[in-house]
Amino acid sequence: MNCKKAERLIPLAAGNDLSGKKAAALLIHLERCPDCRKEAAELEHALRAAKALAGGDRTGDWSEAEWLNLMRNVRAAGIQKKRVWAEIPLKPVVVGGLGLVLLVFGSLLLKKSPAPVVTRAAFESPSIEQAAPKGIDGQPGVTSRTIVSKETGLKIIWFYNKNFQGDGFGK
Amino acid sequence: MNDREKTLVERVLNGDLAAFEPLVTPYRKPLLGLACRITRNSEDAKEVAQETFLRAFKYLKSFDIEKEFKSWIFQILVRAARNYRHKQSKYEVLAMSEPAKAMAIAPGQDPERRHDGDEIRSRLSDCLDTLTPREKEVFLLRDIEDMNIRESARVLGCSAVSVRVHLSAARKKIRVRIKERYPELLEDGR
Repeated sequence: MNCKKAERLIPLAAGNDLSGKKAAALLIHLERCPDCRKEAAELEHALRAAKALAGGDRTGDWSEAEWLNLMRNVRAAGIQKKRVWAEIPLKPVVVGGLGLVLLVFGSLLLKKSPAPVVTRAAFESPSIEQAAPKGIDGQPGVTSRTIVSKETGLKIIWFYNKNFQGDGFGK
Repeated sequence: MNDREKTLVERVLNGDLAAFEPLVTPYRKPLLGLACRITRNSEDAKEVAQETFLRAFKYLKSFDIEKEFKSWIFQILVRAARNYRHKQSKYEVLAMSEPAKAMAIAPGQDPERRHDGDEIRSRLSDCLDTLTPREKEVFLLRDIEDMNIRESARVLGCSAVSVRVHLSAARKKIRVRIKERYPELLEDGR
């Protein structure tokens, strides 16, 4: 074992965290190398000192009243949770909720606006006088006829030629 | 896990909530101690430890009864402390300016002992300050709480190799800090 490898193992050896084989190899190296031996000793002392500091450090404790209160809070939190969840049967609620959502979506999808029923009465048909105002010679001067749907506002205008042949289009 | 703990866990899971207290009482001081060393403030430590007990109670049903209860509850504490540290990280400067004297000292303790306690605490704190958060966790679990490498790895949720690497680095840094600032401690040890 060389010093580089020993340097890596010394911190672990200081806390007895090396396997037997590695520890034995390190020990052999330490016997031969005074620098590594010094470092190993220092690390061991430092670790012992840190542990002693931690041992002398009183980190405090809960007072009995505090502790009892804490345990009461913990139990209360548990009971509260139990009350909320234990009494509600989760499975039926989830299944029921999902069913309801599906029902709402299904009804929305199936729901169609009723197709407008176009009837003859739905159209406003102007009187023949309106549609065919009299010409200069007193003869009906029909040139066009307009039909407007009361429901959709569709306007159909029929134009007539001299032979009274209609040609209509919608607006 | 010992039979006593197993029985108590089963009792709590069967609805005997009072059995939780005797289950966690043996870990009351070690958990608070570790929380204190991680957070460096007794009030924060109490908050972290309280959160630990609440979580332990809440998630007890997910605890594998064949495993060590101690490792499990320490694991919860370390995670709670990490979360707490993360939440508090933006107030780090303010927290640092506050004296760490807020750490609890038994009431009625005489001033001289209190002073000694402060001195010890500040030295330990100073040494731990040289470590990264992970090195600190590893060092505290292995060298202060006396957990073995495997237990520490289980608590920290990492591999044993990772624990060894961080532990090695932590011990080196502690040695350097003690040698630099408190050489008398090394002398005392010889």
